[in-house]
Amino acid sequence: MARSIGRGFVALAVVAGGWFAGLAAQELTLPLTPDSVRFAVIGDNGTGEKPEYEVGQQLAVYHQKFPFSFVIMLGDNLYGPERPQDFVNKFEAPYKVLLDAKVDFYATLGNHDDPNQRFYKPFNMAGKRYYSFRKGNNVRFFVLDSTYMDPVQLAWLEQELKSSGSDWKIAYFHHPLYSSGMHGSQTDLRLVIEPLFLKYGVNVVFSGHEHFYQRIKPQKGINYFVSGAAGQLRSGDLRPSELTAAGFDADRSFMLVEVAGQTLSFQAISKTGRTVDQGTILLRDAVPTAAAGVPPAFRLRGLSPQAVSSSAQWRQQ
Amino acid sequence: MLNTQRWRPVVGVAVLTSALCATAGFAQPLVNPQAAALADFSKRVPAYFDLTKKAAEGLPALKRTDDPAEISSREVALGDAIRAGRAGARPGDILTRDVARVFRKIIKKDFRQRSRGGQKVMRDDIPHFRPKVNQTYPSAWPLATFPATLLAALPVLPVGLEYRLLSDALILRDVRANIIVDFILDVF
Repeated sequence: MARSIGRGFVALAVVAGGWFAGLAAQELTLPLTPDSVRFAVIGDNGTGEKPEYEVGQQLAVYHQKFPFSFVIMLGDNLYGPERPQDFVNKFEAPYKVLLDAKVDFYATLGNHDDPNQRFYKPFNMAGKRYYSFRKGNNVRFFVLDSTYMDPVQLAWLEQELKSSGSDWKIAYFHHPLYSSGMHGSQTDLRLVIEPLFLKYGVNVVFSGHEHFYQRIKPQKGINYFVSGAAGQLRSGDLRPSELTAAGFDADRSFMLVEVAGQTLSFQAISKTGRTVDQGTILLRDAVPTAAAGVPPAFRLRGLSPQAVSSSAQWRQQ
Repeated sequence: MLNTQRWRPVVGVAVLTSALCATAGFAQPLVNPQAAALADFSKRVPAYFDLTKKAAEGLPALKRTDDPAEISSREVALGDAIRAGRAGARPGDILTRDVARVFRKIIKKDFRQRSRGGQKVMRDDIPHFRPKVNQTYPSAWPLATFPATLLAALPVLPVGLEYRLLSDALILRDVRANIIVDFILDVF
């Protein structure tokens, strides 16, 4: 279904999804194009517990193969107390290898985060609850505070999107606009920010809050990912629905992403290094139809028996 | 930093209401109680900021740092200074009874209009503790996400203050000091 688009909108199509029976652990599927923008995605990570450290180790392993220069954090960066030692135990220690390698982290605030985290330099929030930054020549990130989306932030977002100038507009924030988990879609938030995403051509959105991985079928031409299991896990909580393109809730996970020219490639990886989803999103100059008529070759893997038992309708391809 | 421009519409409504009453020649000027309450609120918030500004005198400015101890110690010190500066503060000092009446009406109406699913999302992860004025917001509880559409129906607060919802309360929270400045009960 074609839709009207705002100035600067670019078309997107998921051209491949994940079915990776042949992939061994720690196998990289990303293209490693020279001069590409490369980053990792973690959400709901700041527990300070063993699984967070294991994800940190896995990130370090993949960093050797896929030298990403930054990590985006989708919120709940520090659960519970935020004493100085908590910044160490829940952030600095789990990601020490990456921090030592000068990998930058760009955080957003979750509902478990004290907004004063914005003053913590390693989170690169520039002292602000919401901010934007550019990477490469053509990728701009919009980092929002979804816990407090007041009219001031909305006005700022519109201005930033309007003046962005980048073809790739990637937004990230804690609460997912679309989700099939326990919390569900944040429809209230969607009501106020989705119109701006559509008007100004946001291409890809990352969120956390739900403690699993889920790739949402493109909604009104926008690709949504939920990646909130880099520390927490709600096993069996993913309830596949008509929104679900792919998902994984059997273990902790994180994502790797590469943007090169007109192509964004992604790979979702479990704590043990297993690839649980992958694919490519194309940026096109043409007016799109929904998902450009290219059905994603998705198939869910790794779901718990409980989730799979209710999944007949979405495992249809 | 207080942005006085954001308060102008609220004050303007109150002024206009008073002016209309005056020109109508009523012996007892008619006052829009809602506008009057909000206008009063719009004065109490800057007064709170003035107090906190004085309380913060002598404290190091909060700036970006690699040392989380600096962030937490500044937050604690500011909280202590504010508590000392308004030791006699009582519930209703800023969110007065009239303001509370207006806010309750707005929040209850918003809540009633939501679907069951919407109400669930609104109360998702909501903290369950009884607030006290000048209390440090407990780190054990998350900051429940404030519904964006409801936020748009309430007066915009200056940077440094925010509304948050508890199980049965709306609180006014000082973000810089992580303390509860005032609250209203029975909002749902």
